[in-house]
Order: sequence, then structure tokens, then C-alpha cells
Amino acid sequence: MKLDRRTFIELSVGFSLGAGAGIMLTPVNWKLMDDMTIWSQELWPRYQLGGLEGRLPQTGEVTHADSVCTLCPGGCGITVRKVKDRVTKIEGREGYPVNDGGICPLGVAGLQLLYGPWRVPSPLRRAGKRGSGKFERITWDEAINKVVQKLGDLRQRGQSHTVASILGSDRGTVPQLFGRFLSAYGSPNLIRTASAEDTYELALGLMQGATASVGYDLERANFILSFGSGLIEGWGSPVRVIKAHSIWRSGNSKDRATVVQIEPRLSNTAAKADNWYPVNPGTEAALALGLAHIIVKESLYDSAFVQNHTFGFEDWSDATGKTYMGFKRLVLTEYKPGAVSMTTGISVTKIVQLARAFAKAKRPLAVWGRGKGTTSGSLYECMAVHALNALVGNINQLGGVSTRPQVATRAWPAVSRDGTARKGSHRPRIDGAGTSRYPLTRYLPDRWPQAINGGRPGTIQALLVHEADPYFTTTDSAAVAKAFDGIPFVVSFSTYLDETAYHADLILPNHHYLERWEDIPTPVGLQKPILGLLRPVVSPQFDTRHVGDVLMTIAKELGGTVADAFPWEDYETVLKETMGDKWGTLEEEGYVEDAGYKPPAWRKAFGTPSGKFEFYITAFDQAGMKVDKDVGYLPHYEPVEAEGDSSTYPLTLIPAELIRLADGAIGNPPFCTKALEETELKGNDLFVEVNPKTAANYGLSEGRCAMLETPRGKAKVLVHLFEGIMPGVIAIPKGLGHAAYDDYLAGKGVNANSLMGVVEDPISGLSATWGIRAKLTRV
Amino acid sequence: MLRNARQAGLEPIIPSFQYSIIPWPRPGFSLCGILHLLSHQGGPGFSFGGIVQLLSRQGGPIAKRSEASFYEGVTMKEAHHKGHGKTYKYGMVVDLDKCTGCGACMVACMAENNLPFRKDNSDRLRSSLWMRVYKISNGLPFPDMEISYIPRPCQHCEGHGHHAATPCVSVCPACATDYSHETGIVSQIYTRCFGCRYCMAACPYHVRIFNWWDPTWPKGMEKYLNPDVSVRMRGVVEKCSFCYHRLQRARNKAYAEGRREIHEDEYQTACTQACPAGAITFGDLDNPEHKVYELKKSRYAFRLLEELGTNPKVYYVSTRDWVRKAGDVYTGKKGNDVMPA
Repeated sequence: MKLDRRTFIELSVGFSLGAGAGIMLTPVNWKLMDDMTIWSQELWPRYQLGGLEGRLPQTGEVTHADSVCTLCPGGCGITVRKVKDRVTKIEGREGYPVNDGGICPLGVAGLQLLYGPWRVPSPLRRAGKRGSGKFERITWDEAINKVVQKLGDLRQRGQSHTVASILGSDRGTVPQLFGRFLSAYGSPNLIRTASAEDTYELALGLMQGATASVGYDLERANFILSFGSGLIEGWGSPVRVIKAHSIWRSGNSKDRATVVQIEPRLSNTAAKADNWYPVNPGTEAALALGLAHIIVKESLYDSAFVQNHTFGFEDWSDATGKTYMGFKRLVLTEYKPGAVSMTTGISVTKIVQLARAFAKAKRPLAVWGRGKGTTSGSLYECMAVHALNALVGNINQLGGVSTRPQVATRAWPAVSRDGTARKGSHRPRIDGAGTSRYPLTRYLPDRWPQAINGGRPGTIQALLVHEADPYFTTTDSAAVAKAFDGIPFVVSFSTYLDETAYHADLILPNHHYLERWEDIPTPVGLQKPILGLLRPVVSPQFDTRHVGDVLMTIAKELGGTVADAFPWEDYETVLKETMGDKWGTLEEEGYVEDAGYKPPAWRKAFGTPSGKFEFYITAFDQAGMKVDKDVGYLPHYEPVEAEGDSSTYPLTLIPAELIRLADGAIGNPPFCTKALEETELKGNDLFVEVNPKTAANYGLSEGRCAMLETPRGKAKVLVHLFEGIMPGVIAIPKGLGHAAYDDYLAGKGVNANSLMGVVEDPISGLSATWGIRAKLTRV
Repeated sequence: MLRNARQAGLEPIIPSFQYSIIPWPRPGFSLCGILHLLSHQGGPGFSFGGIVQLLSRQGGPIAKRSEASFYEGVTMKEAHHKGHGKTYKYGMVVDLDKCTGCGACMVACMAENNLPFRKDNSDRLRSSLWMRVYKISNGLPFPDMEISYIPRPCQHCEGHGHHAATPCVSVCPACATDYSHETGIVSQIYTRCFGCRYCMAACPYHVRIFNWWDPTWPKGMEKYLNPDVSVRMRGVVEKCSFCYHRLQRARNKAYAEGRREIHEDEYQTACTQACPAGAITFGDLDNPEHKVYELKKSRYAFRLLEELGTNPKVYYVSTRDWVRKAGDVYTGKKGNDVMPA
């Protein structure tokens, strides 16, 4: 066959086409390409299925177990869904008297806290410098021995009073064990971290002579006047309040409740309120008294209550014939709408309308406690708001405010103290609470850093921290850090590697709340007493121990009367004995409630010297307090000035608390951080909310980087233009700025507490800080 | 990589609590796609679900199978046919007056559906949320600004009339997503999806998310994963399934008890269950006994971008006019001054 040019070309083309078709049709190269992709995925670990091979979660029988959530003081009932021995979901418990099936974002994300890398895996001893995050594992015996040695040594040297303990709560058996321990050991320094309860308990004590927590009958109120309370930001027991909000929003327009929010920022609560009154920050008390003025002037108050069950409303004279000003004259002369309008920035018409609407409502209720209630606040402001409740006669009434006791449990035998313990316990507290300067206050949680920094070295030799993160949550972070440097021995009982644990010398990790027994006292703000039972739903995931057992072991090893104070074998025995006859119900139902509880009637309700509700606080004189002016005995407006001078710092910075951002002792879990808005966190930078008008003055635009500076510190932030914030005010989210925990939280944003300072309330000594002066500059 | 064809919105033929491992990408997808087409054009009795399940099992080693089937002795075909008969139209009514924007629904969804998290989730275009709560404002300056929160799951659009009128379904070249006329749920079959993202472009509600990364969990945290929901691999699109696995569980339970009907409270999505405000109501929109039936008739009820004709199955209720207008920003005749807060 002759191969001419034509045939050659034909053959070439044919061959090429054939080869092409062959290549396309053969599976070999597709297979090779596929293998290549797989191979390349296996080459780099980041593509290797997240390292999940070989540890695929086991499947199996699905079961449910009930317990209680401890992530905030809300105490919701939870139902844990388990697959075999794994916890796969936390859901709200149906029928639980607090939350009945609902749950908040943090509650769901508690799951991540159980299994996360932020758990403290075993007892740890600091191995590097404080705050370097270097720890080494030690055994429980070693860890306990170290504590015993240190505490034993201090006690022998007669310095038992230099031991302090910071707790997140002072109720329930575990905090009580700490109290008992310090009492037997010989130290007065049990400190509870700050909350609005500090001030409210004091106000109830002064005005009603009650030793109790405040209870709000939110569900049945139909006019809710909130003075900056973040009702749906996580105030009180968050799920319960959100449920109450849904009740307010149900029904026909006639009996729908009205919600009024008084706050300089359009928070979630303000957004959901019927009316939002942006008040000049820090002037809430003036507004409350301005409302009182109208209510008194127009005789809209509950005269049956005010005339028969209150003291100090009208002017009165004592035995010597001296006349004292009553609350009525005070508000009528000092808080005229015009003046109040000037102070608060709310127009006269609005003040008058609001006062009338509030007083004429069927079941009005004024609530107090800024944001989530994580700061103490001003005493007079609290009293002014509480006085409004008294004026409308809703004390201990349906849909009103009441003093709520705890569920009674069996008392423990008295501690027999030796000489050292007696001597130590009678020393003044480091925070100054209960001293002649602050005789009425029980704890001053924002004052201890000052005492350490300003006092002699060795004021505090050892600090025991449980269920609290004072290093992160205490106002003025720089002062706290300095105070920590001044404490030679810090022990944390934290389950997680939080800021305090990170700066501790020794960590003795407690079980996670899904791994342990404990009693959970009545949630904050609930109107009826209830006691929940925390029970282990999963076996301990790490080498942890129940803090109650650890504390008792320490006490027993210290010996003597300290050991004698703890006659129980272990914590479970303590719990069962303390619950007494309630244990059976607790174990079966998971809670006990006093469903039929009714607050006492007016004639029996008040334990004040006058036996009545006191507008005029006679307890001040009894306690030997020096109150400067006559007006000091009455709820009045005493401005709490923001720190800093207005020429250097022309703006005002206030904290913004968000429900998707935990800002207490628990670091925000990754799920919740993921749920944050794009205008709250971007990369590692947080946004501050600035009114466009303010921003224009400083040449700032949306998303722009700026330097935020206050007298206490400065930080780089991003700017979010927000029409919901008052011009001249900036809001910074609270809860970011962790250095501890893990990469999912650490290094994101700044801690709002590092920019704030403490402004002390003159009567209580508690921190009345609501904000600070600030400036914002372009960078 | 974990794959589970059950999650893919197919009929729950067997309550198979198993994972199968298939590497990605895999040519088998296109085969599945063809089978899927066949199943729709083919004769009766062709159970494509069963075939996909078989395929996915053959595709890789079966990681685990520890629970015995409820249906031992019942063939797939029988089980499949018993499912037929009544149709449902599952949907949701969200009361925006009650919604407080707390985000419990978002987090409950993440926990229920094994959504991963990364060190930085602040970029919404790259972070996966099946349920997202939007925050919108009326656009007025201080102090007249108002805010409303809008929780937004997949809207499970029904479209009008014919098959594949759902925006995402109509564009999917892989038949990886489908509208079920039996449940009213828009499925997403991860093992078929090859990540072209046409559906993301087509979806007017931005409910679809592309997985830029394989999901990873810090060591130990894989323990909380829900075995009812497969985790999704890099390179595929995912979205809200109305917690389809919960329907499967409810159906299995009903079947085991010899019932055909599923009670309203037996099948509730994770977000509905979690919502502390009780703002979300879920149920069969066609069933007069279900709460959503009446709720959706409220004079304050509306749907998002209703005029696009997507016929979504998520209704919203708001007594505020501007919020209702905001629900239709593309075509809304008035009140177009809505903006993100």
C-alpha cells in the first residue's frame, strides 16, 4: 500500500480522533484523576476529614435525663439527650416551673463547655510565670497537700484572716461549705461577685426591713416600666423573662401589657418595648422621681397603702418636735417635670404621660437592675424605683414586687471555733463591708483590688475562687491584675480554664455541671421559692473532683476544729442531709417548689423599725451611718458622675450586654460567638456603637478602625454606625477580650471592664458605675 | 468524611443509624443523578431512595451499624409504599412580635444539625448557619429607630403548580435538591451535590451555604455530634432541612406502633422546640388541627418576597406595618426604606 500525502493526512486525523475519543472514553484517566484528588487530600492533614476517622461518634440507644443549668443565675430546668454515654443535646425541660421547655443560646451551648478543650483536665500547677498559661499536671494528693500546707502554715502564723474566697453566689450548700470553711478556719473574707442583687437586697432591707431577695411577678404585671433592665438580654432568669414577654404580647389589644424601656441605647429590650425613652445615662433616678412627682401631685398613688402602711411619705416630727421632710414634699418641690426633663432629656409631655399611664395601669411594675444585672448600681436609684412600686401599692401584690425567701433546708450544727478562728473571723473584712464606714453592706466585690493595691503587702496571702471569674468580671481590669500580683497564692476550683484559673497558681478542677450533684437555689427575680437539683447525667470526662469533697478533704487534713466542722463523709451526704425530707421529691422530680407561696400581707410584711414601708430610712440611724443631709434619708437623685473630665473625654462610654454574649464567669462558647451579629464582632475586633451624628464629628464611617480611650485604658475598636444610640454616647459589648479559654474566644475584642473604673456609692460602697467618659479618634 | 444518604431527604426506609465513608469527589454522583431522573420518569415502584442507600453503602466501608432495624422482615418496597397515601405540607409560622432576637434557635440548630464552627466565624459569607436571625430597622434616625428580628430558616418554597418550581430545585444540575410533595420539604442530598452553587445564586432568601472547609472539631468535641444527622464535607452546599431526621424518627416510631398518622407534637424542629419566646410554631399547614393552620391566616401574616412567586412555607406575623412591608423589599410598593440595623 502506497502511503501518499492524502492517506497520511487521513490516517493522521483518523488516528488523532480515535486517540482523542479513546482517551475520553477510557475510564483510566478519570479514575486517575479521582485518585489524584483523594491522594492530594490525604497529603495535607487539613483536608483529612477533620481527623475524624477512627473516632466516629458511637451511635446507640437514645435516652433523656433531667437536670438544671448553672451557666447563669437563671437556674432553668434542662433535659439532656444522650446517645449511649454521650451528651448530644441540651434542651429546655418541659414543665419545669422556671422555663417550661424554653432554653437560651448559652444553655444549649453548655454542651460545648462539657467536651471542649477549655476544660481543665486534671489538677494543674503553674509552671511558668503568672499569666503565661504554662501549667503542669499534678495528682490530686499533691494538689490538696499544697493547699493544706499553705493554709496550715498561714493559720499557724496567726494569719488566717489573710485568706479570702471569691464565689459567684452565697446560696446553696457548696457556697455554704465555703462559708463554713472560712468560719472554722478563721477568716471573715468571703466575697460574692457583683450583681444588682447586692443593691436590691440592701434596698429591701432598708425600706422593708426584710432579709430576702427581690421577686418580680412579671407574668401577671400589665405595665412594665424598666429602668435600663435588659429584660430580654439575660436579666434575671432569661428564659423566664422572655416567656413573660410573650405573655405580655398575647391576648387582645385591650389586656395586652405595655412595656416601657428607659435606656440610652436601643437594646433588644428597647426594640421590643412599646415605648423606648432614651434617657441621659445615669439620670434614671431623676426620671423615677419625676414620675413620682406627677403621681403624687395628681393623687394617682394608692392611698390605702401609702397612708396605712408607709412611713415618711408626709412630713413628720420626732419626739423632740423636730420636723422632717417627707417623700411627698421632696418630690413635689425638687422633681418638677421641667427640671427633670432638663436632667433626663425626656420631654415634659412624655414624663406626664408616662406617669399617668403607669399609675393608672391595673398592675404596674417598675423594675430595676442595669443590663443583665451584673453590676451593683446606685442605692438611691434602686430606692427611687422601688418607691415608685410603693406609690402604686404593688408591694407583695399580684403582678408586683415582693420579698422572696429561699426554700427552707435543714440547718447545719454550729461551728465550734478555736481561738485562731475566733480571732481571725472578727478581723475587719478586706473589702470593708460591715465596717463602720459601710455597716449595711455584706460584700463589696469591686473594692477588694483597691484594698490589696492600697494596703500593706500581704493583705491577702491566699485566695480561693469558686464559680467566679473575678479576674475577668471585676471592674477596672488593670487594678485587678495588679491586685492578683499582690496575692502570693491563688487557687481556682474552676471547671474551665477561665481568666482567673489562667492566673492562678493551682487549679483544682470541679466537675462540669452535667457531671455533679448540687442544689440550685431559687433563680434571681423569681417570685416563688424553688429549689432545683443538679445531678450527674454523664460520667466525669476528665480527672476532676467535686469541689465540696475537695474542700472537705482540705479541712480534714488541716485537722483540729477545722476538721471537726465537717462531720460528713462526702458531699453527697451533705446534700442529702441538708435537703432532709425534701430529698425524696428532689430526687424524683428534680425540684421542689412552694407553689402556693404568697408574700405576706401588708400588715405583716415590714420588719422596719416603724413596722411599715419606709420612704424615710430610719435604719441609717440605727446602723450609726453618717448621712450628711436630711434628703439622704429619702430616695433622691444623687448624680453618679462618670469618671474623667469632659474636655479631654467628650463622649460617654456605656457597656452593652448582649444575650448571645456571655459576660459573667462563663466564657462565651463557640456556638454563641458564631451567632454574634456581623456588626458586633469582625475577625478579632469588636464594634462599638456610635450614632452617625457623633461619628460625623470625628470623621468616622461604618467599619472604620478607631482608638477608644477612657481614663482607665484604651483599645482599638471598629465603628458601627447605629441610629439606636444617643448622640454623644458609645456602647461597647461586654464579654469579649478574654486571654484565657481557647482560640475560639481568646484574643477576640477587648474586655469592657478594662476601660471602666469604679465609682463608689456613698452609702453602700458598692460600685455605682454606669459608664465612663471616653474619646474616640481615627486611626 | 461522613456521609449518610438518609439525611438527603429521602424516604426513611430503614432507620439505619450508620455512617458510610465516601471520599470526595466521586464519580458516583452523576450516576445517582441519572438514577434520580429515572426514578421520576420511570414506572411505579421504582424506589430510588433505596438504590441511593445501597449505592452509598457500596461506596465505602460501613462505619457502624449498631441498632437493629425496626422493620426487620419488612421489605423496603413495602415500607416505602406504606408511607404513601396522605401528603403533608410542613411549614412554620413565626410571630415577630414575640421574637426577641435571642438566637436560641440559631444555637439549637447548630447543636442539632452538627454545624461546625471555626476560630473566626464573623464572615457571614463563609460561616454556616441554617437558621439565621436577621435584624432589620425602619431606617429612621434616633430616637425614632425601630428594630425587628426575623429568624430565617430555609423557606421550603413550594412554587406554583408544576414540579421544580422551587428556585433552587429548578437550577440544580445534579438533582441534589428536590421538593417533596409528600412532606413539603426541600431536600438536600450532599452526596449528589458537586458544589456548583447555582442553587445559592437562585435562592432569594440566602438560606444556602457552601462548605469551604471540611468540618473539624477540637479533639473530644466530636462526642457531642448527633448521630441522626450526617456532617457535611467540603465542596457541597447545605441548608436547613426542617430537621428532617426528626420526621424520620417520628415516622419510625409511628410505624412501629402501627400508626399512619404523626401527631403535631411528635415532629417539631429543633428551633421551634428551643425558642424561649414560643415565637415559632411548626406543623402541617394543610391540617386544620395543627396550630399553624389558623395562625397563618392572621391578617398580620406575610411571607418573605411573596411576589416572587416562590410560595414559601414559612409565614411571619407582625403587627408592625413597616415590618410587613419589609418582607417584600424587592417589589414592595411602599416602605422601601428598610435597611439592616
